[in-house]
Amino acid sequence: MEASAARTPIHRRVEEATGPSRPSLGIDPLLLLATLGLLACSIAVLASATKDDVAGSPYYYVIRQGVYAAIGLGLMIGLTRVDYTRLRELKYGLYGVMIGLIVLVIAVGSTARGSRRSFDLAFISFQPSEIGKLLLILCLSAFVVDRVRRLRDRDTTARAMLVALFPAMLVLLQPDLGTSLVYVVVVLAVLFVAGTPGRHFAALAAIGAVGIAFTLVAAPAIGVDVLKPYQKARLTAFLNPSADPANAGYQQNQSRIAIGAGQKTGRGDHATQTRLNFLPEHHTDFVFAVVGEEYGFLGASIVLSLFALLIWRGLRILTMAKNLYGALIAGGIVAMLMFQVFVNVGMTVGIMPITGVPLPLMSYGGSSVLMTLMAVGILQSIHVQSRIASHAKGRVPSL
Amino acid sequence: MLQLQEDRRPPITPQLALRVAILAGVALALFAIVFFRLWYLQVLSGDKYLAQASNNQVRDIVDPAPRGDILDRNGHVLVDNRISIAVQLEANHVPPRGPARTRLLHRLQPVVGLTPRRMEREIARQQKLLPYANVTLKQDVSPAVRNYVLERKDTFPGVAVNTVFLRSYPHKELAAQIFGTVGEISPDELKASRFRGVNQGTIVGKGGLEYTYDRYLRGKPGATRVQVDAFGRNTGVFPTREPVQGKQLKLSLDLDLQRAGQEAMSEAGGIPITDGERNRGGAFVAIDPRNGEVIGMGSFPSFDPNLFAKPLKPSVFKKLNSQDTGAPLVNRATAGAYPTGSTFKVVTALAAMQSGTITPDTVVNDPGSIQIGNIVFHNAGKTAHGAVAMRDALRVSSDVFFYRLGQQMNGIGGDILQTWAHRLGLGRTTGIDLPEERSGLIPSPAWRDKLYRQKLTDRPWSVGDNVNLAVGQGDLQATPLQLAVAYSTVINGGKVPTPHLGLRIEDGAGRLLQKVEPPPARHVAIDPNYRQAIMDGLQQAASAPGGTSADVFAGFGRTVLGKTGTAERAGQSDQSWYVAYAPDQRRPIVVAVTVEQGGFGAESAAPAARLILSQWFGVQKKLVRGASATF
Repeated sequence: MEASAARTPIHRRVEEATGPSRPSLGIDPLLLLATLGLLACSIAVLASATKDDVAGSPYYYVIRQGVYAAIGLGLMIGLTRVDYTRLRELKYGLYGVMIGLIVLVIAVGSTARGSRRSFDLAFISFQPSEIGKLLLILCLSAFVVDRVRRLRDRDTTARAMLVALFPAMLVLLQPDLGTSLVYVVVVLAVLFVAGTPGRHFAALAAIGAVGIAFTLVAAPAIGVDVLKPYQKARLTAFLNPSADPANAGYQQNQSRIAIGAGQKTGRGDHATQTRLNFLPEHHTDFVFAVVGEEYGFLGASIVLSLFALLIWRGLRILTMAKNLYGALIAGGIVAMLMFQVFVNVGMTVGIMPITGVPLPLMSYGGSSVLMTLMAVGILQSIHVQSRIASHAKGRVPSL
Repeated sequence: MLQLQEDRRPPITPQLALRVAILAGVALALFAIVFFRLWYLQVLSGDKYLAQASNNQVRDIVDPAPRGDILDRNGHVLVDNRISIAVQLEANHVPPRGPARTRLLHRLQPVVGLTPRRMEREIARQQKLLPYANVTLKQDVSPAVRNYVLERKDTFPGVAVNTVFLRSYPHKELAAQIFGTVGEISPDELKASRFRGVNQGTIVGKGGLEYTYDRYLRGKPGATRVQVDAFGRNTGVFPTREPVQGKQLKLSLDLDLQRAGQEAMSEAGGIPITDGERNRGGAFVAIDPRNGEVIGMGSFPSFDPNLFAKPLKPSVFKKLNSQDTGAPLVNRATAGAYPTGSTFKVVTALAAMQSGTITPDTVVNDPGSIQIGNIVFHNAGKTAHGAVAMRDALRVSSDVFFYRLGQQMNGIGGDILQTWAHRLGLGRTTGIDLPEERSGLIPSPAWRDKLYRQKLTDRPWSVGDNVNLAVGQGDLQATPLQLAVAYSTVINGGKVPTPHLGLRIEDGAGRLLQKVEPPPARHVAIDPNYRQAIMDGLQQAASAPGGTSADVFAGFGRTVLGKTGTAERAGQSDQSWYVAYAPDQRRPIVVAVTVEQGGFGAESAAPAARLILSQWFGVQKKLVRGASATF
């Protein structure tokens, strides 16, 4: 009796996993684990780090982040059931929506610390450039897939670059340097995965180098400042953060002190850098420093491992994708996540400049959490679709 | 049937596999970099960053401790504290010279009422004095000013409003020189062993009793260790250490006697207490001969030490040190070294008898003058005293008698006169608990011959020098305190008391913590017969007919022993001296008085001594000037 009772659920699970009629269950469990793990970490860290931030409501940020996570998880599950391939047809619509939102936010968005990045909606403040990252990946991949036979043309690369650089420039105007860099990384990654020849990248690198030289040296010399002074200060401060500890280097110094002070196992409730606000933006951009201070090397390693897991699964899904569109999307998403993790964590440990890139799933913020969960949902969708496809291959000649 | 996922994977092109591998490689490299960096920060340098994090959050706010009060022997307050609000520039936040600082000082101008130029001067002066201390711009500001500044932290960066304790001297000029000043500890003092454990910024004694008893008076500063957040806001207070006031120092000084001494110096000595052009100087010391307790000590002209509670104007400080105003800061009782005139004869008498040069009863004829070598030495006014023995010689202050002793003792027994002078405490510090003490000088053959060899004087030692010394003239330099100690030694029959102002260290409630009882400096073997001869002579001098101060003490009603002295000073009129001893079972007292340019001893110093003794024994005060014109 006991044996059969115990066996029943296993049998059911086996059937569900293998049954072709249940595609929604073909999700990647490790990817899900990494996602849920990071969300859990985020909630836990915010719970302790933001206790005193809003007077009278110690769980202000936790509750909000929990709601974003719940909505995001809903969207993610929804997306796993959608065949991402159909998004390809919507590419012009998606691109139009993206550009429209970004332009709109520049026009009427609310200003926070000198930049216009978000709309204040009833409950959340919505940041279109975050969703834009995902929309860009979807449109760009569709565009590249359309021209897959002309990948060797300079024209293709140039057009793809234009598709991405246009919103990137708009975002830079907000100004939001970090996000616009994400857009650039996304387009490079999509082109790379698609198989754009190396010489195109070399040419792009050369143009980029000239462009950077122009923005940092030539343009200021003739009186045109492309970057705001604070952006320049941030970009250069990390090279020598102690030079001006009260200003540009201050955040970086405090972040480094916080992480270092965490030592091996963290300071727990004695995490004074966080609790006493020495650590700026500890619930958003510098949330990793909170992890480092409160949970030490151990905690930081766990979070990094979860990100590593996320990226590994993403790369694996890339290889499994049933079509090029899926592979490109997966490539773009993986590159985006990788870039954000490295730039954000690098910033907190003092090896990258401060660019205001949130740590995916960890940083507090509705737009970022929703976008990342939707991106993960699409990754899952690619995974699910690839399994459906391989099953189908076994029974139906073609889709 | 469960299939392995790998079986179902669509094949990918080798090119795509390579590109994915490259992506994976990049990811691996980036994670490796981050891990390595984390390891470096958290595991390898964690201690350093932990220390930095701790420094970040903690600020120590020092609450200065009020210094202990100084009381007289009866518990009257001589020095205490008052609280003052001071506007200061914080040492670490004073902007460097430049437009920022000029702007700040301009904003401060209406607050502290000083021009920016004046403030710049003050900053420069105080930073030179104490490089890393707060610069006090203005003390004693009103609470309204304090609030104004505190509410405008942004307008006045680096400006602090602190409560400071200022020394307060309710009796102003009274005994002003003995207390000494207080001030923030200097970088040099911080290194000194006597200030071990004292933190920067602490107020310590810079002179006088404040210096000697600093250890007790200083107290323990309290500390409020506050946790602050990134904006410097107080987010929590750690257990706070309350400041502990310094111990109370009770002096042997008697306030009433001290006041009487000051009045006596003014009345009998004609010395204005403060200020005036070319002030005359003077000093008095009153000690208990048994144990060296200093009952009164005054130096004139005096000053109001309350001046030092605030930053002193350089011009005022200069004036206080100037000879033109009589250098009121100098404590003439311990640091004014003068020839003592005939008050020195007690020393000569003892030396002569102890060395066997004469007996107490050896009679010498005093014709009014004596020729020694080719110099003729006269009595004052060339008075002839006739045949005198020791007692008479002291009574009438016969110079010829002592000239002869000086002549006879010259060069015998290894400078016997100098030796006895030294034994009785001249030419050396008495060991009083004040840092400002001079040892004076006993002229000796060795001393003068050395100067002569160095060509600092025109002649070597001669018998005339010893003759001069025998009557307390010439190169002798002694302080009133030394003289009081020398007389006390003779009175005690050989015990040399160590004079001291401190009597008891007490807690705030007046409970005894420690007695100040310095042991006698040494013992000198004195033949009681010789002592008796001297005591008789001194008593007769103050009471018997012909005694140099008999008329001064006429009608005093108590036994007084005393010796007048008149020191001849080059370039100015004579300096008046008097040393008195009033025996008493319970409260014997020795009083030494000197009045610069006061004329004969009986003229100003002795009357002042009478006034002081009157106070001590509760006798009706009466100014009686003596007529005796003796050296």
